[in-house]
Amino acid sequence: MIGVGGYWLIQRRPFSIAQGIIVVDGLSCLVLFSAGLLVLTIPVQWRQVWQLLALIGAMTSGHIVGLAGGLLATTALSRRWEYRLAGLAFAGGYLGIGVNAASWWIALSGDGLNSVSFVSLLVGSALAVGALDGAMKRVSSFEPLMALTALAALLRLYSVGPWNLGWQFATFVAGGAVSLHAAWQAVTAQHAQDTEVWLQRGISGLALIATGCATPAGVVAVGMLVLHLSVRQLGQPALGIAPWAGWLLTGAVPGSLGFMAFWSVSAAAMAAGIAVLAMVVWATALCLMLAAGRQIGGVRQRRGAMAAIISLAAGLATPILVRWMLRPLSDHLQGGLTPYGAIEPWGWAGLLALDAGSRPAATAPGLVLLMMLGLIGALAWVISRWREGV
Amino acid sequence: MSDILGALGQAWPRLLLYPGGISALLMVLIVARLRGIPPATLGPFTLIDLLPPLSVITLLPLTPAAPFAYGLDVPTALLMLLWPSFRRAASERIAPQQMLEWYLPLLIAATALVSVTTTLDLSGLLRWPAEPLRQLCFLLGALAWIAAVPPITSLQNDLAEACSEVGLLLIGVLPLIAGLSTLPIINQIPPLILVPATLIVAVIAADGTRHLSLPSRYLLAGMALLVSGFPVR
Repeated sequence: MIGVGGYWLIQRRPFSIAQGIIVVDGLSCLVLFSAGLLVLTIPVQWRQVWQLLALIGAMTSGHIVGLAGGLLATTALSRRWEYRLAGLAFAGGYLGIGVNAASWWIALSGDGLNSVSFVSLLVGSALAVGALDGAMKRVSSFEPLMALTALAALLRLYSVGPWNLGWQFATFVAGGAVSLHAAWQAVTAQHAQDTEVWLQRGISGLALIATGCATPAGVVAVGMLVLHLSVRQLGQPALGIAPWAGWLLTGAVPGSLGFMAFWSVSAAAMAAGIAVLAMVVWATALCLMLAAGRQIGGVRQRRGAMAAIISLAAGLATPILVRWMLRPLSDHLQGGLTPYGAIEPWGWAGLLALDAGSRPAATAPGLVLLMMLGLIGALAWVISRWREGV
Repeated sequence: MSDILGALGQAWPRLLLYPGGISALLMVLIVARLRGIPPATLGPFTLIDLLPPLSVITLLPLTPAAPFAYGLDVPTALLMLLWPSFRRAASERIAPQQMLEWYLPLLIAATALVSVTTTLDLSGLLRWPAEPLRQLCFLLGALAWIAAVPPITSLQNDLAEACSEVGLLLIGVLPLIAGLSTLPIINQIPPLILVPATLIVAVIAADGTRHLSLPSRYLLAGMALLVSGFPVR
């Protein structure tokens, strides 16, 4: 609720209080909103409340020490040692930037950016989204809050300054390895719960790829994936779900939030001019959709149906989501982004990805597709009734 | 919202006549007949499988279809055309390794084609490139695409499968139509004859590649991808 309220304040520019010690921008609001949704899905414990507060502190801090401390505290409260290690990497990366920069304020520390700090942050992000579990071929559990922390830590780097091509490439490699491996594990897993763990890891890996695009389109895609992850976590489809709701949550239905999220990553890669990456992303997304489709079944839970309706409603409302929730995110990180690609609302029809020359790179008219499916379905039904009558 | 309703209202020839509606039904029934698929009654599950590929055919950027502002892109079209085999693979838990063998050559061919067009938009496949190397890549990509279709559509034996096959083959012939349209002689042929003629060629070509080995499909798609990666001055 605080996240939603914050959006009213930051539509034009980031909201700053106490002489810049607290800065609320698009990234802070998205993290607040998504973290709130994720915490709703788990039994309330003090540990999680403190984690949430620490993450809020990190994301609203205008000072590097506040950011590093908040990220460290969020991960230190986790029960697993690799997340704590990730926290150390985040803190080390940001403190390294602070030491090298002329100022400890995030907005003025661009001259402190260096490859050592970047690698530290990237390794931390890969650890937090479960790269180690992938490498050691074990399922274990997946903490979406840690994945959100990792993505937020990496995105916050755009507030510091622009990335170089090498860093972008390294992020593509890390994200691609995590998402491809997780997608394959998800599609070959035998138990629904294991599939869900790998699926969420795969979605986080795709978000890493989108982050590496370093464009407004990439940032919007990360936002969409985080929202899809939160809605999926809300629905808990692994516990049992009706087929219609299960398919809506897979992302295989045009117009649903999952579809728009997967499409936006592929579109961001294409808008950045990397056609091969766009198709690799889509192949990974197809694997994730298939894996999600294979786990449909079990005793139908009401929360799954609710999440599916939310997914469809949010998917159809993506033009509003992009305009109101995600554009401030890319606007406020603009200083570190390149202009090679943007995702724009396409009226009420859906989304449109534009390349550097403002030419359409990809189109997703979700609402039009659903209307077209409805029209053709009605037509086919009328014809079949008429045939039965004759 | 009024612009969407207006566009849908003006798209009725596309929906009822061409490329959707009667002409799509005709193409699907002919392909179903060629494949020996029995004409079945339209049950709810057949309808669910049939609708996405039929929508893709309706929205394809084929001339002389009525203009429609909201076009599709390659990933969306692929997802909707693969929907029948996809749903079946999920419900019957078909081995993912098998799925990979079927889908990968198609995805590689798609990558080669979008690398040339530099857009995911399907209408990009109708823009014949000026450079000979790109033209070669376009042709190889289209051929690899058509050769990759038979294994995917052999998964099930119903109208939805025939509809998917028609949709996939129509996308495969888009670059060929673009290439043929540059020839002065072909330019005289009305598009309403050119499109079915190229579709017939594609059906014959797909039939010819039905017994092609998997490495050959990979080789064809890989060559297209390799050529698309060459820099052009």
